[in-house]
Amino acid sequence: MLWLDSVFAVPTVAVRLETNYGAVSDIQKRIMPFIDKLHKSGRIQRIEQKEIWGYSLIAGGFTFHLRNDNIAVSYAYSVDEISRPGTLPSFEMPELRTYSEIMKETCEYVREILLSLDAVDDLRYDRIGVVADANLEGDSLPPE
Amino acid sequence: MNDLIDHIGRLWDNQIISVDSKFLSELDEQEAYYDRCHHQIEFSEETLSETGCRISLDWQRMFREPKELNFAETFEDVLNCKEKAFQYFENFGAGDLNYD
Repeated sequence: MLWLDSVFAVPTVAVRLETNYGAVSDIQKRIMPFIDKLHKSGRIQRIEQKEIWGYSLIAGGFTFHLRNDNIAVSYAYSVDEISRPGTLPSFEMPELRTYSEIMKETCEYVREILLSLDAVDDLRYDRIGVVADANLEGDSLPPE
Repeated sequence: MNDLIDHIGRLWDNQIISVDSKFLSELDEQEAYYDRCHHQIEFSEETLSETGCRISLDWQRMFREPKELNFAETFEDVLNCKEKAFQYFENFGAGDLNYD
């Protein structure tokens, strides 16, 4: 087991694309079914258009940065506010999961996005990043 | 982690109270790519019980020549990078980075 699985840690996976303005409309067209799928699942909490072309979406705790120069999927724990008529809202805490579990889901999203972009011509990448963000208690600093 | 903090603290005879640091190190170099990792560490002895210790490890593979995006090959690259990054994160967490 990774030591990151025993602490409060979340992943990001990113693929940096070579900027290709000629492919912008094709990227947009190819990525839309992925965004539609997230929308239909009811998981999209926020969606913003970025720069000349690109989207930033938050869905089910995952943040997707989908641009013509970068694809990134990251996770952050967030507390959902649930409105209740006539009284204060309630708050739903997310389930605590291991770094590896979240990474598995992150990679699955990256797989879907890359599959969507497979048919775009002249798209190149020059960097792949894998991130671990952890917040540790003082007495849980590895190695234990 | 404690080894790393102790190692940094040696510069001040281990009288270190807080750390807010970024380190970028090269890990591997091949003909087609090189691997590196950005490390960001933040902690304060005075507020450790409230804020904990924040660590961000940003492992990256930089390809010397951009590669054409092709689903099968690119996703395989992503999975290979994930494995290499996990291996490095493990070594980092275990303090297996040649501290003497």
